[in-house]
Amino acid sequence: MSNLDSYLSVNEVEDSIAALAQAYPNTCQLIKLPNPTTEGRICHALNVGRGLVDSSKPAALFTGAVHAREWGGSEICVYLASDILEAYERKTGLRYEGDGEGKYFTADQIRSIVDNLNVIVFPCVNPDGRNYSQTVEPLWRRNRNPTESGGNPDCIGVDLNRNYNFLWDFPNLFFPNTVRTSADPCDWLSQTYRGSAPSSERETQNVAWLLDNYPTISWHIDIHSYSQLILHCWGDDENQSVDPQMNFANSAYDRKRGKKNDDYKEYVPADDLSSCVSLADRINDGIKAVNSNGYTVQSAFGLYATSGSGQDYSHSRHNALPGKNKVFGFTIEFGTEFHPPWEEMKSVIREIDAGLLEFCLAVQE
Amino acid sequence: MEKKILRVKIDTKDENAFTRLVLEEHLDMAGERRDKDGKIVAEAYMLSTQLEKLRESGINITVLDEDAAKTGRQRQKQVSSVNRFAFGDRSPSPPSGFGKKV
Ligand SMILES: [Zn+2]
Repeated sequence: MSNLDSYLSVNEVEDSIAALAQAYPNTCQLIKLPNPTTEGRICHALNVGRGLVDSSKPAALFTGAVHAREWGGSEICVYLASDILEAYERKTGLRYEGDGEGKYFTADQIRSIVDNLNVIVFPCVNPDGRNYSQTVEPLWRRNRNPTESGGNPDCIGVDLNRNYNFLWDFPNLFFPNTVRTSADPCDWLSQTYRGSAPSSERETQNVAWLLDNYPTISWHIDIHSYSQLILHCWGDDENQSVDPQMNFANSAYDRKRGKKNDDYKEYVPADDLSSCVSLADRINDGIKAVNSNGYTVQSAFGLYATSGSGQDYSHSRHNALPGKNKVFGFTIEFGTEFHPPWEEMKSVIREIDAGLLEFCLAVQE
Repeated sequence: MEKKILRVKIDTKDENAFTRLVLEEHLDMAGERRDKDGKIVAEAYMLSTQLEKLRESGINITVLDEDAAKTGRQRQKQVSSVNRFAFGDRSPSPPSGFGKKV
């Protein structure tokens, strides 16, 4: 059976990037994440590039399968790395085909990505959850941490994309009944339990560790499904570029965030916002060449208010934590189903990988 | 243990009613987007027992899948059951992606 015949199991995700590291030792490096999961799984990321020691080269971080049931985030990451590494080795370009005109990346463009950039893929942030979704409950979203469950199997797990250290304490920081997360581990219907503390989970700690440990990371794209969207900052409220004091760290605005069409809006410098929008548009250019429908680019709050998301955490670090590098955070919501039939998922992988490669070109310009 | 889970489509222009519904009913939201005239088009998972109450709220709900867990279990069959990259006596071949190397 070829590797292109079915979804990757969780063990295969790990071993496939190990196989890439062994096959292409000059152009990629495995990164072992420090925190094993609840079920004892050790995770790796793979850096595609000449190495993260060179502080002059910026890095992009792509994360997949934060939510257990959004299986294809892992394949998008693994096959993106596979394509870049193989094309570099064979000195070819890469062509992605779909119902659009197709997207071609020249051999020179592939070389520039490997030589001038570091692309870190962390394909399966939540392997316990993804394995559980692939083998037991297909619609499982959370991790498998039982600490707060009180022994009730329905109450196991934390929604990792509500657990990051960004406006995590929603009852005290947001306007009532605006933000979609829960402080109740047994809110198993919505599956959005935020965890017992900000960044309480090993999986979110692993992502934060990458950002801490590799200060050249300048962009983070968190790959989710679904809805065919590309989201940029912010997720807690609408954007504004006028008043820097009106921001997530200012307690004067506690309990005012998250409401649409009111006075509170989250600050983002105009230059940063325009960079984020144009990068998101470039991702969409790559996608649209393969899937002629294209995706929609918008701020995350355009959907609804969130707290503790990975995208906002990455984007907020340089404001919240002194000395941290500026990171632009994005979320891609791929496809129209969590785990579509594999044949359909293959088309989604092609379109997203073309979008991510276009992004890798755009950040070098 | 096994609960019947529906996949539904919700479409509405009433954003406040929609948000209230999502929070009060603890809906497990899946896809969500806004169409060109501002209408919210969302998909969610819910128990079949919740459907009646939601319909009474006046929001337009269409059932897309009567048994989403069953559909999910069918998809589980499309997950590899062997390890195609296991490091055994020989090193595995590395994966090859979906881009054509040309
Ligand atoms: Zn997700």
